[in-house]
Amino acid sequence: MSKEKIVKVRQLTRWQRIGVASLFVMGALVLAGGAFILSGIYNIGASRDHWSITNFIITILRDRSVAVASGGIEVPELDDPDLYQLGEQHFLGTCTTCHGTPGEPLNPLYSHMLPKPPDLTGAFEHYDAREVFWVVNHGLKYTGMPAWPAAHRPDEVWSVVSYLRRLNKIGPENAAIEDSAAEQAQNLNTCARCHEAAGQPPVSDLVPRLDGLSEAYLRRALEEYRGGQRASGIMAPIAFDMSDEEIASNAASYASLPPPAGRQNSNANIALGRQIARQGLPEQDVPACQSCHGVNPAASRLEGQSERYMATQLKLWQHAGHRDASAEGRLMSVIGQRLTEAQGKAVSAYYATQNAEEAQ
Amino acid sequence: MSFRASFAGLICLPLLAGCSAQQSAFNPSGHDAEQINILFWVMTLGGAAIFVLVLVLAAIAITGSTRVRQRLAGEGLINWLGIGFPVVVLTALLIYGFVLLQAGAQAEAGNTGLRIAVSGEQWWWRVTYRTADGREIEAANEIHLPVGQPVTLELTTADVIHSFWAPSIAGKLDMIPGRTNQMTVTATRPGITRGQCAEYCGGAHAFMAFHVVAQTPAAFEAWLEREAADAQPPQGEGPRRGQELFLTSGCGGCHTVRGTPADGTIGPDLTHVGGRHSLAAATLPNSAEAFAAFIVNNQHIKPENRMPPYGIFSEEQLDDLASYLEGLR
Repeated sequence: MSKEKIVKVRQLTRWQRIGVASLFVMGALVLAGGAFILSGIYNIGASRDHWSITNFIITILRDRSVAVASGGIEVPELDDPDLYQLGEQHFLGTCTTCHGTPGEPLNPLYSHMLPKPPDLTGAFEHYDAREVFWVVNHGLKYTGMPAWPAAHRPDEVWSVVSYLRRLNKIGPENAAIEDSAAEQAQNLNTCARCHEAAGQPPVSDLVPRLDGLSEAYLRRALEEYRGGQRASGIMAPIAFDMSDEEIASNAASYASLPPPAGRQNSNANIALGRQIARQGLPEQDVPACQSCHGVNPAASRLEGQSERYMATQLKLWQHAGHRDASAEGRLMSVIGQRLTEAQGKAVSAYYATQNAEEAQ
Repeated sequence: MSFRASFAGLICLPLLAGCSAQQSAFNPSGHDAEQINILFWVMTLGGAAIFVLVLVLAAIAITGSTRVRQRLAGEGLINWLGIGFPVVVLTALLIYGFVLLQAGAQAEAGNTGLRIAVSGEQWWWRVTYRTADGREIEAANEIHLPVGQPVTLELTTADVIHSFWAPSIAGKLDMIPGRTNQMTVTATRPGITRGQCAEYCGGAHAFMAFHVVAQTPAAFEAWLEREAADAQPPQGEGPRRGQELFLTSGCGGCHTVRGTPADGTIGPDLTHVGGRHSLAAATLPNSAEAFAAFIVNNQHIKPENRMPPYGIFSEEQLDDLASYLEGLR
């Protein structure tokens, strides 16, 4: 008697069949995608705009990313001439290359980028201050928009944000641009665009007064900006383009000017500032500023310097890693970290009221 | 030899010194330390004798003949050896200890009127000699004592709790914020010994040591006169450039060199630093190389110390600066 063969047929459940079918579909999609990429059919050229569906998706992606990432950023007072006047100069010298001078036609070279760099007069129509700050600070992937070229300098980024807001508020035709903007943009390497010279104050109190600073200090500052030891998104691109000779000649010419006079200030805590400058704060292990500043040409002269500039720099020194890449920076960073913010402000205010000659 | 290895060598020098008799309570050169040494040996030898006696009795109790064991178990032995003996011995030791260490009494200060204020600071010692005629002479990281004369130390702290301990001279005494603890010490023979902070006080606690220099009264007086004087002007071209660097590089913001504009009070007084037996609170030997190493690399040699790293000098400038400081004798 032959054995009867028993054949068992397993019946797949409904969900198992759906699972198998979806595996087939996914496999087909991956193959089709791979074939699409390898076939070279896709036109990568910037001459052809994105498909509208691509545009739709990446716009949502970009705006959601910016909105979420910029949450929690604290916005300073933006209606501040010191901020927007510095921002304007940086904008005209750097950003206009791609974005064009506001209100004027864009250079055809850059108008053929994809995406086309937008006229930033409208930046504040699409985004709020936090979001504009985030984009200027971090840049945007896949667009050609670079991140801010210096870490830990949000103070500089806000100057550009402040200018863009003003530009949006009063329109490009009214937003300063006293001299021909194009002409200013070409003179990028002219320190005087921001720092001015020969007795004129800089465009903003956030910009240091260079008149009469020592040649050694000026040269070191420019070399540190160029070498990246000193972080500044505004100075780095400028110093990058300077040769050793240009650095030397600029340093020499500013050093030969008479130092600026101190400015009256009745609000600040001048007494505390004077004490820190002359005696230091021994109980906090803070030596007197004038044990280096004023006696050593390698340390910058502080008398008559802008109060806001000095306070900003001291704030950088109060954070480890923000301004201590050079030997001088490391030295000052130890001192800066021992000062409170209020003490930093007081000593900045004191030096801003002093005349260089008196202190000699 | 690599840079790092040579530093390790420099750092180990004082550690090795710690193993020698330079910092040892068994090698007393001060009145209190001698008393402590005697007390230690009386206690240790007496304790050892009692320990041996107990062991012998235990051995007898285990292995002895029945007759001996019966006698051991008797009440008489418990009364005499178990109660009477400890009461007498411990009372005697207690009284002996009190008398020896003059418990509760302040040792009599000498008739010289000299007082030495020692302030513990993270992580060094500010030493101020207050003479009978009212002079205050500031130095650091080294305590000079006239042999045979009781001197009162006024121990304070500028920050956290430290403990002043020169084992060859006397016992420990803590330095407590807000208090002045007094200790009168008498050096009994000339010589250089070492002490250190004996209470953990933060990062560089292990590098907070000092030297005690005991001298004959005449030598001490002569030393104190030199110490009271202003710094000697630099001799030679290198030291002169070194002084110029010292005065223009911010050193004077923290350090005093009397006789120059440098009048900082944050760090140690350097007026006669070249004459001391060590640098950086007995962390490094006193040599030009050690000065240069500490100026540049102080955060590696003595981590977290309050001096900023001075990387701004060229090799030549460092040599000049080191030769100037070494010459401040």
